[in-house]
Amino acid sequence: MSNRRFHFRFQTLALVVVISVFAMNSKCGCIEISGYYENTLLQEYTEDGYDNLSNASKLRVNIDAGQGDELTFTGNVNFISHHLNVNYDLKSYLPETVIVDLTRKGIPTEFMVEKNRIFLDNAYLTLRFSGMRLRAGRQQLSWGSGYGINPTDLFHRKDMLDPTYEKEGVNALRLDHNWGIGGNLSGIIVPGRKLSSSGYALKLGTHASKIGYDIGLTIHHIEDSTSLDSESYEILNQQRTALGLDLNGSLFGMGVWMEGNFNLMEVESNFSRIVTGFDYTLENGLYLMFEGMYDERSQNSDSYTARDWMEYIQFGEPISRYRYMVGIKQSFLELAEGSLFIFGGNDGSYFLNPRVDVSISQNADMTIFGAASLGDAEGQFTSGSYSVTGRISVYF
Amino acid sequence: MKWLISSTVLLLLLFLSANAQEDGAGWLKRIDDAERVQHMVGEVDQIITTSSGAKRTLSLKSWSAENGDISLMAYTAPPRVKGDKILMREGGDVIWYYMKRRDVTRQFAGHTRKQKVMGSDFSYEDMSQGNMTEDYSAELIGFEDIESISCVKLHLTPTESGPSYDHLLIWACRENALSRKIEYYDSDGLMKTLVLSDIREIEGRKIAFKFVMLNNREGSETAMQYQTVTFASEPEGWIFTKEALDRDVK
Repeated sequence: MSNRRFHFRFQTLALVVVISVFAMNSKCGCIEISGYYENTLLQEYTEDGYDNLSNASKLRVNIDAGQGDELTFTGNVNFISHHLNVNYDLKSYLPETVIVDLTRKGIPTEFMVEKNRIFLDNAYLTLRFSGMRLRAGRQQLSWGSGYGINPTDLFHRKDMLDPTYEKEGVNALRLDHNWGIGGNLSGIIVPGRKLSSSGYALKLGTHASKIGYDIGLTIHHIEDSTSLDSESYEILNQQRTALGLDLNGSLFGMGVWMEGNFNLMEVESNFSRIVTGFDYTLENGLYLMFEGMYDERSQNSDSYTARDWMEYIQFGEPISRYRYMVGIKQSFLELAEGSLFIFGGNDGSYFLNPRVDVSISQNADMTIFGAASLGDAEGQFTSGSYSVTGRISVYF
Repeated sequence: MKWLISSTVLLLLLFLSANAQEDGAGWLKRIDDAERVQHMVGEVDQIITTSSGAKRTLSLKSWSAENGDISLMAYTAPPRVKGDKILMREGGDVIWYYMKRRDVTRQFAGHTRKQKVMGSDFSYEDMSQGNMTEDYSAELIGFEDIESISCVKLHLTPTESGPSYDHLLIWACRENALSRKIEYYDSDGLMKTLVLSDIREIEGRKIAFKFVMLNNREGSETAMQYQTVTFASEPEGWIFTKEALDRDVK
């Protein structure tokens, strides 16, 4: 039996046991089932003739169980099935020099997504005692106020095109202590194969009432595997210690946020990564936002190596040193909202991301978003690729 | 002689103007006293009706304390938003939004108060109770009947720290000082009209059970109908903190 299949069967068994225990002890039927069905249609096209249509169905079933909130269980099972093409080739999205380099090293550019995938997004127990909250199991560990990227979140990666979509959970043990309006001390352990490869994180957060800011200080110590060896392109495992700061509040009537960290690396050079942004709503309801990112780990040029690209694709690491996004959002019809985000970098490439969100019925939403990359052919947003995604979600 | 007449007229105008402002402020205080409650727990259905007649119904539970300066709203239906919460403090000046699906809490900056709440015709600043005598200065316009009820009509101008509207016109019952209608204006004119009805007496207090916000520009409306209301017990303090956002608040 493969490791993956074993893990899934173990997780499913654990889920069934936990639900059964709650069901047996529940005198009031305190198990709630909810979730959604989602169908996503994606059409991709590149100027060199690549044309791909893919379609996926997703069923997410949420289970909440427990009496009161002293001991609760939260979990969800996701079933994803791809109906059309599952084979992809990165060649159409990568600069020519990078393809040559990857071919020379014998690294394939084709990949296949799993046709059918069943996985646990979240499955955790929450225990509350003496002003503490303990969470054990697979859970989302969402830290940071940045919109497109969160430097103080070393456990997840965000999809730039859809940053508000739910993140896949991480197996972790988390202990929180809260006080006052927004005081919080949070400790996280993400178990690895051994203690030295486990991840540890601590966050001290508070709401500074006098200035109206949420302020957080973070420290992480993890085994980092988000970079590749420069020669072999094998995953480089190294110890990483990061000190972070997160601020979120108002300045001159605008919303402002700043999130960043300084990373002490075992093998690579130390680096800092900072995201800062502001937003504002005009009197007519038009929402405006800007976010800029500085990443010392990334290249400060418009010539990225195959290694940079692979780190970007595999781990979601930023590819360029500077990146910005400008966004506008407006309700243009009742129950519908349109937005346009423009991404750019210091390499002369741009990326347009228009989006429409519509409530099509009481329990159904439709989202259509596009992507078009323009500008420098060697830039981080390789010019000449376009896509349109349509997604319908029905909640129950 | 001319000097004496001019001075008298001027003094008279100043006196009348000052008196009108005092009357306006007095009426506003009466409205505030009648409507502000020390603490409250309620269940509300919110029905959004678009100009084409499409409807969306949301249900929520709300808690407030400290004369409405702090409040928590927890959506209980539909499934799409169930578990999402909005915490407001300092009369709506500080807002946190919790999205259950992503287990994320975000602080909203002051400008967000102008945004619609869950696609409804109520903005965050409309939903916060606040202190009207602190948020507005009032001028008495006169007296008019609203649906055969004799009302006082006031012109309200937001103070520097008040809401983002240009001004409001408010009609309140002369007998019990409860608001019956409010018109919201920006620099381009009338934006929205709030009509309050279904006045009931709960635990010795009179309160409007139905609030209908008409969007005069988009043609949509949002009705908020209380299902239950109680002023009997004060909610525990912790439910007005960030800690409560991911907890099951009863």
